[in-house]
Amino acid sequence: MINLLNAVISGAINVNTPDEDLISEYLLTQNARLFDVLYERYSGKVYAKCVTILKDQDDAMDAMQDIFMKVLLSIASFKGNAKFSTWLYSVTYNFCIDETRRKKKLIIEGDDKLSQIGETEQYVDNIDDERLLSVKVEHMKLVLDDMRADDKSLLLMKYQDDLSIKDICDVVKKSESAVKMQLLRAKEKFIKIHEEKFHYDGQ
Amino acid sequence: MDNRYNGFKELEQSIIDGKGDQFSQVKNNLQANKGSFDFIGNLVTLYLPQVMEVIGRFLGTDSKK
Repeated sequence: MINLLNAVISGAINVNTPDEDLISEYLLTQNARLFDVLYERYSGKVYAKCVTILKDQDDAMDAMQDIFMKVLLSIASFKGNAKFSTWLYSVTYNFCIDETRRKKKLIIEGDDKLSQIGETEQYVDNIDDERLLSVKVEHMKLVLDDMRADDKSLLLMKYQDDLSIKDICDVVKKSESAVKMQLLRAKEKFIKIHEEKFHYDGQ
Repeated sequence: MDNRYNGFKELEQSIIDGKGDQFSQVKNNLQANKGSFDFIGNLVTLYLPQVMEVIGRFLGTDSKK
């Protein structure tokens, strides 16, 4: 069996070394360099999620530190039922959503608009993913900035992290139908804001 | 996974690229914090049994009275 610690020391860890192997070895040896590898892999992604949801770079940096500290202290409880990345993203999204609630940054106005959509529309997801994915980066940021933290988190899970509906259910601790419903609403909201802001006409 | 344009992933990458290597400071803070936790943990592991023993003796003496 490959000794991962020696592999880290000799620089032989590569992109293909599974996260779960690194964690197992870390739990055995408590060698910080193994955790560093995980940090290098995911710090950027975690930060990107934090800054997208919290909309403030300093808050995002603080959140990232708290999230990794939380992960570092609770990594022994990681059972390997889900992928490490899914577990880490779960901690990240829940932390950021709690943080926005705590700071009362949720856009209350958005709640009313979503309620109206729910009352008038059929819950049939006929929104082409391509319509969302094709939005330019600079527009994407501005549209997401106008969305509620929990809605944009769902979109990030689906389109940025490629999480399955089942994984998203585990992260947000909701039923599959509830997640599909909220995801549909989030997509509708995204498109509505995009159209309002940039007069998108499908071209 | 297909290679079609994905604005969500592009946004993520642009945020990461824009931050450069500023994540190393957070890593150093993490290590320092973890070191503090370990130190406190070691203290507890080292001295807790003795503290419990002292408390046990104290309570034991009291109960004899």
